Amino acid sequence: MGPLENAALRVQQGELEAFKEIVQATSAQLVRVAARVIGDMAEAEDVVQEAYVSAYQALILGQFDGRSRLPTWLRRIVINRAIDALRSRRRRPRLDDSALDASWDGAVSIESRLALVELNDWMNGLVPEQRATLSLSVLEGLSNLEIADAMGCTEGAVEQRLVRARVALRQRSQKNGSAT
Amino acid sequence: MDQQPSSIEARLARLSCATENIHPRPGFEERVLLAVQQSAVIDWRAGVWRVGRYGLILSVVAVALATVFAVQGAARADEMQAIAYGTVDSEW
Repeated sequence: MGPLENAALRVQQGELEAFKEIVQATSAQLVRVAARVIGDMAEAEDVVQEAYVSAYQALILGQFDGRSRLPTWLRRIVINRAIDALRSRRRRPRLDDSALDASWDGAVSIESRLALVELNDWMNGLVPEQRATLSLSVLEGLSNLEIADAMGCTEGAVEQRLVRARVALRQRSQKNGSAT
Repeated sequence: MDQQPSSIEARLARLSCATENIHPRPGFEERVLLAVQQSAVIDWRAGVWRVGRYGLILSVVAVALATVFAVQGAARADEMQAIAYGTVDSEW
């Protein structure tokens, strides 16, 4: 049993301090994953925070069975929350832009924030599942098996989403190119 | 400009590199722990409310049953009294 799984066990026994260890060890990676999927820093933080709250409740209720490693389990929760956020964004588009938000100064470089804006604009319009799959595959470097496990689908579905996402991006690029 | 598959991959690779150093703002961990603690308090209150709601429903059912039994009991008592009076009448 790894240190994080050990911490999860202590959380189940009611030790909140152990959950702090889990957050400290995993938050940077999870926020990066969420930001790359969603394309927005502030929204990514919200998604990860909600994911941590539901993970804590699941731990207390003994719903973490230890079949997967704790970071993998947390990443799965974050990805599902991120897809939910993308779906609700399609219904209610966000108007604010955290790329120029001064509260990020000194925390994340302006280049990274602008890259996220570019990523968001480019992938905007993709089906949330396709977008998440492409982000996890190309940006996070996860294998198709890991993505399938995280998204609760087959490897075949992952491959299909990757192909469709690339085709959609190519079509969009061609359309933009012919429009200008 | 026509974007070929290779240029799509190149753009993805560039964006991957550019977003590599993304991490949460300072104080994020504290905010998460606060939200977790608050959710625990809300859960506790929700639990009390849930138990209280069930208690209220059980109380209503208990009152209804008690009323039914009381009415039945009163009717039976009246019946017994009537029989008793009848018995007295016939004996008398």
